[in-house]
Amino acid sequence: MKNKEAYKQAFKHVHYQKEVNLNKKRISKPLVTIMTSFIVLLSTFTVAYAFDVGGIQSKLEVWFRGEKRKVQYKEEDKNAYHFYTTDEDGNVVDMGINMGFKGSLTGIEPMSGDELAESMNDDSEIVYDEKEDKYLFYYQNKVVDITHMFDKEKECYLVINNGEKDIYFVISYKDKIDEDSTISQYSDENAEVIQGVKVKDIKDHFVRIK
Amino acid sequence: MKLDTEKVIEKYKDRIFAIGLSILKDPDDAEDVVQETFLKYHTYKKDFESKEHIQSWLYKVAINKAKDIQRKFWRRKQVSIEDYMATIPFDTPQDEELFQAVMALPSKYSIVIHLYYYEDYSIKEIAQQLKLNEGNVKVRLSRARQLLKEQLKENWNDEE
Repeated sequence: MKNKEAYKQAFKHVHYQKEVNLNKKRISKPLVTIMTSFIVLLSTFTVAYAFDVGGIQSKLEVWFRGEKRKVQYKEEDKNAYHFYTTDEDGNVVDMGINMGFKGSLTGIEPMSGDELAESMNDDSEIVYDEKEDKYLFYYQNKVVDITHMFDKEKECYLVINNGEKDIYFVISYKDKIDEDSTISQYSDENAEVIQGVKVKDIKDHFVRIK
Repeated sequence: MKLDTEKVIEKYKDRIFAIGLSILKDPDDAEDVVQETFLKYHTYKKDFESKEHIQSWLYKVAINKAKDIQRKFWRRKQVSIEDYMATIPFDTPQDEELFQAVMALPSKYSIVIHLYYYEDYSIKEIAQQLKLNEGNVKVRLSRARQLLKEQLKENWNDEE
């Protein structure tokens, strides 16, 4: 049996059993009220002290939503690390699992948790701000409202200097920014944005963010 | 266009539940994903371009809801996956082993595996759905297959 057939067969008896309630937003967990109070208490605690998810506290601070944050990580799987940080309210935020490899004199070797944390400083992210109804692009200490920066091709071009060099970003989407956007990131002006078109060929397209 | 909510629920409730389960590994939390996703659809004012767009939108919302739940530190296991599995009438022991192996994968791998093998999504479609680049999806898919192979041995083929 092919893997796809086997997979579908294994999941074919997975059914949603309950009624969907469309009348109001339900609070499904009986402990929500108690736990919400607990969150507030823990938030206070977290602001005052280092947070603890039972992982290794990295010595490095990582850019997260425009600010440097302390991170912790746990090794979930061989060479795969689960990262956590805190948001502006002190709540613990799951940053997901990360793994990577680096070249060395002896070949390819896995990156350590701290090395991965450092590499995450080059990550960028788009977050939809529901309250303000806008899309925010985050890269290191920069926060850019990109809601109205897309051209007719549904592409947005940004260039940000990270203190060492210019980083070029091409953000594109197909239907909706919050559904199917992709971010391409280039640090080399000779990199091809699309086939045959290099960053340096279209430098004027990029809006410099200061 | 916008399809009637009841029809959308009937068509997608099991699939969205499975997506929630593949990320959260908790049936109670996966049920919350289903509830919140359809409530959002029901109150969504804008039109969709096609049925495919509706599906893509639902999955995107469901994945985001699941990630939101995952981020809440107070989240805790309501029903263990083992207890939940005991309620599923698997046809064969191999089905149960495969399901268990997927539930044991880290979420970032299991959602990619699920979209690929259950929803028949392409690498490109998964990348768009999860806001990843295609290279990242390939790496995750490859690692997930490797983990499943280690667990399932001859019950997981070396096919692509």
